[in-house]
Amino acid sequence: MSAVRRAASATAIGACIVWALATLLTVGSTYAKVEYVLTAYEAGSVARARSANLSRPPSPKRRIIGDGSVKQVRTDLSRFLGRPVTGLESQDRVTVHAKWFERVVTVPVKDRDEWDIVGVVALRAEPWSELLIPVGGIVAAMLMAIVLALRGLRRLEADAHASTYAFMIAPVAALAVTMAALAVLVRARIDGAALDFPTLALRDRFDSLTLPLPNGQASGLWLALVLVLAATLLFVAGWAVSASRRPAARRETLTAWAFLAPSALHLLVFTAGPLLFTLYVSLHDWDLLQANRPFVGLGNYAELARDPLFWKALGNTFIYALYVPFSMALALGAALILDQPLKGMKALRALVFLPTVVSYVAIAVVWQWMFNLDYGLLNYLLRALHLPGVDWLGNPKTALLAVMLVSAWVQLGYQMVIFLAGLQGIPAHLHEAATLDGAGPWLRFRHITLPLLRPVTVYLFVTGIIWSFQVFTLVYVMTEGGPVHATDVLVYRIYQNAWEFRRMGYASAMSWVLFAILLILTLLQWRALNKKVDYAA
Amino acid sequence: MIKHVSLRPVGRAARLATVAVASVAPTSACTWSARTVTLLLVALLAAACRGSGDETIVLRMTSWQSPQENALDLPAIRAFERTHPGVRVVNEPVSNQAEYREKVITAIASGSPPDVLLLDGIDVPSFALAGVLLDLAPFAGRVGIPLSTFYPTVLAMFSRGDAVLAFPKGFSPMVYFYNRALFDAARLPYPVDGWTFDEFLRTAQALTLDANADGVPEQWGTAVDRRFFSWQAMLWSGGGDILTIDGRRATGALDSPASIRALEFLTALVTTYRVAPKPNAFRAVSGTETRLFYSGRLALYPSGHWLIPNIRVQLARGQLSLGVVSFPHAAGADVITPLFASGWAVPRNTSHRKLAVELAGALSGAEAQRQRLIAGLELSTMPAVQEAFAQHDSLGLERSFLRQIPSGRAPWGARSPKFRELEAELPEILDRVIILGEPVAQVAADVARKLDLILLR
Repeated sequence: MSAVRRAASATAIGACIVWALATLLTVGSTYAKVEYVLTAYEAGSVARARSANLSRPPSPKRRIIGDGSVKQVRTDLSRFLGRPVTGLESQDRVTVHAKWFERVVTVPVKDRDEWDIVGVVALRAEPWSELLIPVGGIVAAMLMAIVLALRGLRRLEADAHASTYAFMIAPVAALAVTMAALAVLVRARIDGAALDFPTLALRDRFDSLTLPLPNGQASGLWLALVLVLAATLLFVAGWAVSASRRPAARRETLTAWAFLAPSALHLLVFTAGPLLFTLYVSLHDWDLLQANRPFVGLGNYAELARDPLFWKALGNTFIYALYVPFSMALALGAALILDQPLKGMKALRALVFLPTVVSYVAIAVVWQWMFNLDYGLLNYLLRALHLPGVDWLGNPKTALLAVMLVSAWVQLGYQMVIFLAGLQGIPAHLHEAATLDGAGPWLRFRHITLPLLRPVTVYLFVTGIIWSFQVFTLVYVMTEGGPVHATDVLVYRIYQNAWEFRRMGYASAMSWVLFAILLILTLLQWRALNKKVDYAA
Repeated sequence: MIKHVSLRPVGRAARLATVAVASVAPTSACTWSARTVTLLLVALLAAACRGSGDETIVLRMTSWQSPQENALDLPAIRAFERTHPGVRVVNEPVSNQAEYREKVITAIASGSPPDVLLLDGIDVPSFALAGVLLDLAPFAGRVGIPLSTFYPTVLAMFSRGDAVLAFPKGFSPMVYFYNRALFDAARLPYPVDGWTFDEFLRTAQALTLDANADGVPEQWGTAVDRRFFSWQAMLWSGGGDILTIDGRRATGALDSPASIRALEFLTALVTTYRVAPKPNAFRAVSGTETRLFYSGRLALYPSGHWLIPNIRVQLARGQLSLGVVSFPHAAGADVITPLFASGWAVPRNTSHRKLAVELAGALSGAEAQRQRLIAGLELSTMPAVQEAFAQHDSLGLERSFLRQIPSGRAPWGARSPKFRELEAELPEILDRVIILGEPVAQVAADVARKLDLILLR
């Protein structure tokens, strides 16, 4: 057996073991939570009987660790857990106490008015009793997947033309089928517990004396993620064996992935994960405050299509984005001027760049005053020229234009610096050669400077359009989307729906539409503008 | 050797730290990186060990109050800590109300809410609907503030059936502040409560001055703010409303003849009579009219009690002399003004229910309310406290505010769970009439239909 196959076999076995452990953890923790809920319910029944001074409290199925005054139960519980237990006097809710694999659920006993804690009921939770079938299934699936993966790896090594995917699909399928069965089992366990748990329908006055049932969807999501991880590792193992005949290429790929892994992981957890979650949210009527978040399918997207404010905001966003080419043209002009080897240019560059590092809120407030109808600087200048004042932010015809002007002013410095870097990267000999050939400044700019600035231009244009579609702060501070929705833009509508109206599902649907628009625009821009120019070659 | 350690672990963790650091002292051959790693591990261990021995109960409270307002609550908090040994109150304020709301909603959704939170009247319907707040009614007497000590109208804003979702801590009606000096200069009598739209208009016209006749008055009679909270009282006192009495529809209310007449009057103050500057009340410059008022260029300014702390500075300098008067009303209609209130609430899933309720009670108690009253922030929600204070108010402003309370009504924000969505649409009425010159009746009908769609969804 070659060293590569040994490593691949170890990876495949490891993947299956990781899958089994993570799945066991997910299923086990869900089962355990269900058990705590049921234990808390039993303890709560006893506690309520104690509160009502009933002589015959209900007998719980689970073992009683303590039932009496706080002091007495603290002693009993400490003895059982082997460590001191504190805070029972003030712990106003169900608490799960843990030591290694032991779990005890405590529920406070209140006085008749449910005000003072007069005692505690402590029951031992037994989460493992129901786990036999899932654990058996997980172990069986793990063993089967290991056997299938090792057989696949052996064949891959023997057959130079074999497809990695074909040979690795069998163990992945075994894991996937088990995952689906486990998801059904978990769901059944939660639903079964809900039937045994009548307080779900008849809620206590104080929810703190009951525990919520675990979320079956969350467990399903974790099971799917674990499956994806295991499948990825299995395919990596298969790929390693199939590529073993080209060790240099394999080493190169592995090195590349090793370098990429930290940022890829970061991207997966903090970007791709939330992104996919918003897709999930967008299919629900999702209010952060409500526990019930019904699935509405494409309902939110259909509502978007009918919402005139969404279309208004979308149109405004497209119009707003037009400031980008305008500010780029200004920035290029500024860069050409500031590229001259003259005294004071560095100070001037710093001055032009300054707005880029100033807080957007501060900029918005200052410009609000500049635009003020009665006391603003712009209208003061207009009146000095005997022109009528303009209600820049108060008039729907000028409000968006005013916000675009501010954006152009803010972006000018940043774009100028990037253009400046691009200008300084153009080899001087090209200009010299063109000058010798009799080309004037315009011809040199038209045929040398502009084409060689194309990568910089593409970069600024694409990022500028993306940023312009994400405009929020200026609108939020300067106009709040008004007047008459004249400056209502997509991200402001997303914010308003998500946080002011608490319509997270609708806001997520809007985010996905924004994402799709940006993706299409970016692809079109790349296709139209990204043509290589290399005079040096 | 231990001097390198800046941590202060406690008890067992301290001994562990001493041993661990001594074992990697520079005398040994180990590297600095090994020491750093060991120190980090020790720090983690110390942090982990600390919790088990610490029996202090921490109560977290949060609000959107400014640092100055939080300072007013400190005596009540310290007194609470003194009477509850072993309990520490940690205040986690967020000064921006929008961000505060985001934080509270996220904290409740994630299952780790603060123990006590400040609830704005506008959020009562949605929080009540979600069932996330504890009913405080059974405990009010126990914490020393029986429900009978509150103004019934204010308490009703935080009540749903028999349940009380927050102890109200302060409130304010909307009123008109007027600059006495400008009235004196124009030789006009001071306005009195219960004045009519016509009297209001005549007064505003007499107080609007354009000495150089350039079309921009140097002194304005009054101000109109496009935000609904500011003109809600004008609509109500004109006999109109935005929603029908059951709060289910806007058509039939916002487009009713009375509402249209009230809106026509309000917008004509800017367009026809030109006694008010064009509304420019965007978030960051909403103080434009306030500054005009402070500088003696605005005679009648609609606002609430929250203006008093700033006004006091002007009054102390002798730069301002002012009075408070009710909103005017249309002939045949009563003066009605909204009461804006906030109160201390306890989430249902707090870990320390009793302590949290006691803290909410302490923050809403008579002494805490007196502190805020002295600072001029808001009216007390307890008639006894408010009336005792008003008797000693030499300026007479508090007595003027007291007179408005019988005309007070819970605003729609405290009644409709979708009010935030409705409120976002309402400035459009003023914008379209004042800026675009559209007829009020048409705009009111359009907006009413939009509000209906929101309410029906």
